[in-house]
Amino acid sequence: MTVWERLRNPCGWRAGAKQISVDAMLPLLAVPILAVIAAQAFLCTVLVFLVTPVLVYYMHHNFLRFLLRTKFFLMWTITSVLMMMLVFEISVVPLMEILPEENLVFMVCVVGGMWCGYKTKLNADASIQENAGAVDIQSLELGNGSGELCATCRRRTPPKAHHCRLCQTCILNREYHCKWLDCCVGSSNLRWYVSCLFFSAIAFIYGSNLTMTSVCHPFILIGTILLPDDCSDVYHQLDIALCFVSALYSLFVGLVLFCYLMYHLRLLYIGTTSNERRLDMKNQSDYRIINVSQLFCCKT
Amino acid sequence: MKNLMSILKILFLNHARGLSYTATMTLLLCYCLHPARFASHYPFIKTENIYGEMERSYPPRDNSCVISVSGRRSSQLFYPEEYPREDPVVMARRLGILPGGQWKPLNCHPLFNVAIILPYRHRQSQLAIFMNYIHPFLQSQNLDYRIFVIEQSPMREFNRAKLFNVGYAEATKINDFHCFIFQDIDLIPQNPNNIYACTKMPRHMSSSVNTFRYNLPYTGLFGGAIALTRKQFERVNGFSNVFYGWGGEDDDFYSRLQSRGFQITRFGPDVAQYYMLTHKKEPPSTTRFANLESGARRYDTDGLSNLEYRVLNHQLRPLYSWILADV
Repeated sequence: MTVWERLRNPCGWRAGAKQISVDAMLPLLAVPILAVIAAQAFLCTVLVFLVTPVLVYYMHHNFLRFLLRTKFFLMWTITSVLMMMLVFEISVVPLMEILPEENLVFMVCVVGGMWCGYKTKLNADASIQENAGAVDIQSLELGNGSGELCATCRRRTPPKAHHCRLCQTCILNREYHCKWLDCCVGSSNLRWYVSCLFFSAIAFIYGSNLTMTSVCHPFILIGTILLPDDCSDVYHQLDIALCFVSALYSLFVGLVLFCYLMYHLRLLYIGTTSNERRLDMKNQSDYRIINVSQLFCCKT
Repeated sequence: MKNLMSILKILFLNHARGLSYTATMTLLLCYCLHPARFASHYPFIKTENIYGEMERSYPPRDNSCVISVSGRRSSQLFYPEEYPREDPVVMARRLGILPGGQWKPLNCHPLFNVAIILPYRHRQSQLAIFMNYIHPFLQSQNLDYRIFVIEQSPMREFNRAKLFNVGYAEATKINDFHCFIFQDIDLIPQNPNNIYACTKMPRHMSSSVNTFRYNLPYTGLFGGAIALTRKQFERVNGFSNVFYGWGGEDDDFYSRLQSRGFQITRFGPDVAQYYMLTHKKEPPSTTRFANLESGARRYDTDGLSNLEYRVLNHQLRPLYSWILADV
């Protein structure tokens, strides 16, 4: 087996050669390189954090959206999570400033988040396959008779199902297509998706706090809760700077995830889906906010 | 037959793959959760037992000072003033400090007689912050104390351990101190319950430093701020004199204590909080591991017994005794 084949087929003996496209490999290189650049100086950090979203948005707008179901964003997620885990376990923990139970809580949240993310993907795929199967087609087609005809699927759908261009099927109670997990979020996996948001928001924010208070100069907020107050000397050593950068990154990600969690909890409380809200808003021709949020996250 | 073989092979490979994944994950998890990689919980003297564990310098009398170790919570931690404005002379007059940084309570008999030894070099601003903070702190504990700042002449690399020995030797010339506290200048005790006097066993005082997230990195750590009685310090022959540069001397001193059968004690994490003043970290010395390894052979020959130094200058400054030594 040549190296190239090995590279194309990294998952072992039986999986068969899978063509791994360039756009999916890109984050594997880009994320660590950007992190190392950001770790050079404070100015670099600010620049990288400002430029990266613009760059990704530009890439998406000009190239990626013409590829059908690019794995770019999924790989970005996986690479980021892996990088942050590695930085935490290799650079932060050996500073010996973190208690075992703090690490345990963190690890439980990380593994929980990963597991729920995996389940989200699995259930989304499952629902697609089910929809393709005869049983569900019938229920979809016959569904109460009140459904509309989906022009693309060419079949009748239940009232609350919507078509996803990327998944090429109709999803029941469709929220949106999450690029970062590369799957649609609908009623079949919404509960997994929300718990994934919950666990990973905690993991990202808590891990960020643990790292920041380890590499910076912390103070006691209340009781045993620490916050960093002076991070001026993190750039003298590359590994410490990397810890700081990844902590900053995970703080941003954690906050965004937290906002999404709140958003979904509110939608669940009202009893609607984001897709419907969006359609409503479109009808009101006031969807500037959506465009902004498109830059950040999942919606298509 | 061939078909069967291939099916078996696939089954085996399938199984092997699952097994190897499980094994790798378990190993990874064991590594990630292994307790030796983390800060440790440590045994400590409970707050209500602190008073009983203290080693008194003077026999208690009826008008002895009261040491109040209250169960105040850690939310009331003290922080140093970052830019002290008060002139040292004015401060010394206000607080009644004698030249050379001496003080003792006037309205009661002190229980503890303490010399505080601080090694020093090029940390002018930290020295000012420390002195501005520590005098009121020590006075609130009613100690009979004196502060020595031992500065090393600029010839060689910094030798913290030897400066401690010098401080000890110079302090004993001046007065018969009963208890010695060896401490870095950048450590600020935050909790008034952290009594600056000796316990029955050598005590590691800075077990909960803010830069370590108020945790103790490992139980063998004996650096930062430590308190020993004169007898204990003489019993272990002081610090080693050979540790030039950063690092190693505290671990060496810990093994010295161990070899003489001393069990070190600590106060709890809710008492022993310290605030570290910020400074750039120095690169660790390259010879520290070699010195540490050969340490056991030098316990008797290297230390107070072979201490050689030259005092270049000795001044009684308003807030401390300043000794410039060539080591």
